[in-house]
Amino acid sequence: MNDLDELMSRDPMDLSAQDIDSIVLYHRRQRARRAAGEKTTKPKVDISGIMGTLKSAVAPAVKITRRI
Amino acid sequence: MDGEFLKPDHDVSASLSHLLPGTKLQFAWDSTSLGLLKTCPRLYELTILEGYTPRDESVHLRFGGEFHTALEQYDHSRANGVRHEDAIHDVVRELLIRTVDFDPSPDTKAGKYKSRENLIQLVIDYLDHFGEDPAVTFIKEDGTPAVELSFRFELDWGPGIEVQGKQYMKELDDPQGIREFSQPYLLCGHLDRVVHFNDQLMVLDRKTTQTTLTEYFFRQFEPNNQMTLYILAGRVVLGTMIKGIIIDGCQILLESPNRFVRGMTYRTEDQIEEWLGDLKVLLAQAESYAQANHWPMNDTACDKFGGCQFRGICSKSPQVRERFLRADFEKLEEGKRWNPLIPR
Repeated sequence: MNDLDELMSRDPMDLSAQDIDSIVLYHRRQRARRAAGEKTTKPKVDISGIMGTLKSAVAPAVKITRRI
Repeated sequence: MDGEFLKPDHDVSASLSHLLPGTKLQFAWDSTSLGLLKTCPRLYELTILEGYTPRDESVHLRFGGEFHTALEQYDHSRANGVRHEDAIHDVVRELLIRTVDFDPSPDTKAGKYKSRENLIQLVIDYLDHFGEDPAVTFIKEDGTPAVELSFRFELDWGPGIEVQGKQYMKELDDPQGIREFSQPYLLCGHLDRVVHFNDQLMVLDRKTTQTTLTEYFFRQFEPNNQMTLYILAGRVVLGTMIKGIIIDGCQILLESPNRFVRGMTYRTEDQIEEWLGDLKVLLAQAESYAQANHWPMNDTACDKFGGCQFRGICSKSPQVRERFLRADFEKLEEGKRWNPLIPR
């Protein structure tokens, strides 16, 4: 969860004037990043989390003999 | 033609019907219902009379409604002398509060483009883009800014069925009956903003889209049912010469900055007269459909605008359509259906 997600998930009634300014600033920076050609959409899946659960590859029991 | 602008708190009950009592004959029309009828009478029947709506339609409606409300608040603030930065600050705060429950699924196309975050991004981008706008809000005679104006005005004629009924009541010499049969057609709608622009008075309308803002995009507004109605409405209700419409095209993008392009469309008096003449014929057709209780399918329109939402239904045999409609669409309760008489 990034700073914007944290701010957006809060009860809007509890946001301070500074929080609102931060949200406006974030979106202006987001626009500038997009104009500069940066990828700004969040990945759907947290790849790093999944990678951590993968076990190391196990060597095949039978040696594969290439035909060619 | 006489007309009026309605205040947002105008006392119009949600139960007030746009249909004549006990009939499926609509007497209060707006650009949405007229547009549907012009495109395909069956599409009009399913959407307006039966109240069927796609299950993700609420995302589009909510997104569009919140976008317009945010810009309305900004326009009001600016017309009252509030600085650009302060107005944006207030608009974003209000938007966050109003949309706290708005969480469309990111797995749908609608939800991917029309998320809460993208809505806030679009509002800020639009207001920054048009921050120093040469279009200045028109101030009405009562001193209030001409922003988000719901309008309603009477046409010079009413449903033919009503005319027959009135004649019958005259024969019966029944004054109460004559009054009941005196409902003229009404045209209703909503103008985003009226502005001074290049020494002309124009209506300003914002359109959100996912399509590219090219000349092709703006060509759809000339001729265009909604734009002609809005120019006519501005002239009738403001009693002044509205030259045309400024269209602010707002393209929602995910990887690039949102894009904004401004276009214009104009109408002459003769074009307006022609539109009204066509409308008379169209509404007479609607009466005949209502009397026959049959709204024919226009099967040359099914592939227009990326394909009709009911294409999958109309392509089925009539006996099984109802089952598919209930599975794929939501049938709104009568009070929640599209009603031109309810101001925004």
